[in-house]
Amino acid sequence: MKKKQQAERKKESDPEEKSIPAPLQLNASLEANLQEISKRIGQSSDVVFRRFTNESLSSLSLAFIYIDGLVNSEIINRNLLQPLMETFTLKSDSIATEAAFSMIKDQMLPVGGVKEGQTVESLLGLLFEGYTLILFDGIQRALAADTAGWEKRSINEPTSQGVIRGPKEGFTESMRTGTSMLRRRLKTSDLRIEEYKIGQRTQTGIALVYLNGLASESVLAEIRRRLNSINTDSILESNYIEEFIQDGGLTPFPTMQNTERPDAIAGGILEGQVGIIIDGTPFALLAPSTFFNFFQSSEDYYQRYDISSFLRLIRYSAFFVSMLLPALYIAVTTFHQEMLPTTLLISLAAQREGVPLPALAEALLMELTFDVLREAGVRMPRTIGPAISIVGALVLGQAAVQAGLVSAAMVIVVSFTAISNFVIPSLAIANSIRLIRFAMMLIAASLGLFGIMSSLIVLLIHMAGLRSFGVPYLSPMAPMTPRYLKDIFIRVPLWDMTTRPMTNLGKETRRQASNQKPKPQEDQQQQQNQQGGNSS
Amino acid sequence: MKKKEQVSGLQIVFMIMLFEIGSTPLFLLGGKAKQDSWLAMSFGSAAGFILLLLLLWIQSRSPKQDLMGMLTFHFGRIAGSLIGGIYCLYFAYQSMRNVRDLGELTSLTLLPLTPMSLTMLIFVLTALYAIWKGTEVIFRLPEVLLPLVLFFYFIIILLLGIMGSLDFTRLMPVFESDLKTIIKTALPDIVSFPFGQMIVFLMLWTLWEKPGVPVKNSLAAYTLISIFLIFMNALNVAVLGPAVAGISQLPFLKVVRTLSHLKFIERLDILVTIQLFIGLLIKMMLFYFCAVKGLTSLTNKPTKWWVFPVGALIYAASFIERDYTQHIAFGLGPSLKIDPIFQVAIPLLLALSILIRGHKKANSTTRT
Repeated sequence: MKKKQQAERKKESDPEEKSIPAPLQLNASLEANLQEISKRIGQSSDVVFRRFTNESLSSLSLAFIYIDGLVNSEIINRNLLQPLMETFTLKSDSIATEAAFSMIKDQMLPVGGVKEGQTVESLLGLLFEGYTLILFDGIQRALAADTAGWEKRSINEPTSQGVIRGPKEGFTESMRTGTSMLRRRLKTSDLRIEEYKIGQRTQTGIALVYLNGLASESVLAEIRRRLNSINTDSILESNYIEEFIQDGGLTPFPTMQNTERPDAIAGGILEGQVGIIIDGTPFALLAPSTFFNFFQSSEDYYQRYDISSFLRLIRYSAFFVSMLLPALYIAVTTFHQEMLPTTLLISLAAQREGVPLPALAEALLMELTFDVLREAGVRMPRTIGPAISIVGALVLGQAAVQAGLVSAAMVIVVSFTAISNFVIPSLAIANSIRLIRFAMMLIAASLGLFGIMSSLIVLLIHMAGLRSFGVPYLSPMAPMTPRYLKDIFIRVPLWDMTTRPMTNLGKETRRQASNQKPKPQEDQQQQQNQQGGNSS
Repeated sequence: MKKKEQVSGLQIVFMIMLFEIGSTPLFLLGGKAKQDSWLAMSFGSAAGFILLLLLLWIQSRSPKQDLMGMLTFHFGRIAGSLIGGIYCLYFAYQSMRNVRDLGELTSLTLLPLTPMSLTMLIFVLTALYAIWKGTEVIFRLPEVLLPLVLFFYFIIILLLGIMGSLDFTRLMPVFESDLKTIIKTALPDIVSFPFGQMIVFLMLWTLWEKPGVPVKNSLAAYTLISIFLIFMNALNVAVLGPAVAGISQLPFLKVVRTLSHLKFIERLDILVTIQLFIGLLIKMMLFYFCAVKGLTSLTNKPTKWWVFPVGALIYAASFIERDYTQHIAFGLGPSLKIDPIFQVAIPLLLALSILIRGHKKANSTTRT
């Protein structure tokens, strides 16, 4: 009851919210239909109206409507105009309109997708997707032929996530290209692609990609529910979707991955995750994601397991360094000097002697400077790139130390922190710790190591309580599933990963046969003999 | 609508281990027995094992009831609730002891100038946050923290071994003190802390996701951690010698301070402090949680209703003692005398009641 009242009040206060009018049926008169459509579209110059009659079809009046730039004009000329305008085979002059309609639909349109529409709204929707509308006089239906074709970026190497070894192609802005890339990687009938149109004004195509039987039903249902409940007028990038559907509004941690790499999405799908490809952006999403997913790079599986495991450990340490190093420096230099070895302490003290600022101010200053530099590096035009590096390295680094504004140790700390931040493969989680770092620095300056430890524990509690579409954020570490730890801190050899390493998501956990370790042939035979002996 | 909160067997194992580790390895328990303190520790853990068996037996007799339920069931509504309430106060008291421990140790080692009221407040608030988040979150914490703590202990032990600080001949001669002294130090002191504190799991075993009682898990965890604690006790003596280890406030901190070699590894105090922090936090959190849980089931109020009052009570109570000396004196004096009542006497009464009831029931069934 109360809810209803609230909803009503909301409606009153929000003048924008209008009820959607019932779809308008097509009129029998071609003239009226054309007028209605041109009224709706307005005087847009890119919409092409083309009227003609064909004698051989008992002088039936027809009209084409398409949007220049969204269609491939070659297809229109060859496959629509030509067959319909040519005076040809049809000798019977007295063909009925109804019959002409079905004949055109079934016999005269050499185009893959032909749809029938009855309302102005549905036809307009198709028009904006690159369909060509064919309207008839004297009939309340119309045809729409798929003639879509527009300028696209070709497939390029992903710029945000590079690899040394591995596939070099990345998604493009076209959703269809994206789904095709996945189809090419997963040639199984279990691959399901569900499409949604979200955003009243943008009508952005969203494709939900998953493997039937691997992705958990409850997760899928949850994602579908959340997608369907999005009510907005525009979706321009995958982050729109991410913010609308991800769990935990008040958390610095991302609960969905984003990637430009089709192989990463394919890998995720094979582990039971659900991929979401959004039209208009090369960044696709993966959900549900646990904390540890953000430290896995697709290259981990393209190089030897020992080096991959080593790199994993490096990444986790980089995570902690990036989050804690400035805070630890502040804590140790302000509160716990006795913890440093004497020689180091003396050299640090000597450096800090001339510095006018307390450690916290010094660190904040340098960290903020670095963030400014970083932002400048991203936004500025490519051609003035070198200027930034000169300013950054020489003026802010060396000169600041020589001028005695900051200590050399602080410059080292800040640069190492910054570099560590780039080691983490996922930008999403790297960005989240950029913010946590500042909080940590403030806490360290007021409570020292005790403060750092407390806030780490608080972060841990927070993460232990976090979920991504129902999956605990810290799984498989907490709650622990020892079997799934093979791909978390280290990566075991592929032949040993008999179960899907992700989480207890899907039903089917076994991914390959066990006992696949490559061995010389004699050993294998011996083992088989032994097994045979045992079983008999 | 709300799903019943459940924890897995592994989580119980991890919780028992981390809870028992707590801050125990930092102190030298049974210092009165000199180099035989590890023997005292062994006796203590053996006695604790028997106590654990008793607790598990009680729990297995009514696997669906926690301690509060059992008390009201066996001693009647009013008396049971009263004892239950006292238990909650006892849990809160134990929790408060850990809070105070941490406050004192922080001001001793980390932050000498910061007022203790602030550090203790942060500590209580951290635990409060976890309890507010619920059972599942609390039981997930040891899964991350226990490997971390064990890893730090491993590093320290490894370094001690490499640098030759370990001298197990300091444990010789074995059995220098007679058996009576050893047992006297073990009972009841070592049983009360840390082994007897397993009593809290009477509140927690019911959370197991499977029906029944996680007997195997609990016993395995207890045995493993007892061995670890006995080893750590022996290690303290092996590094410092019985005399020094016996008199220092935090022998383990001293142990770690012997590790200053190569001009590079110096003052690993930080590792000890982290261990201390984690151990105390988990212990304090669990006692706090049990107090909240007990009050919840006694009063039929939602859990979140009790979180703040109990937290406030614990925080306020941690100021009652004037200083560290009084805190230690009270902890080693009256406190140790009270512990057996809660850890042994009442569980025994419960067991007795179960036996009598079982007997009556058996009689009545035979009669009919």
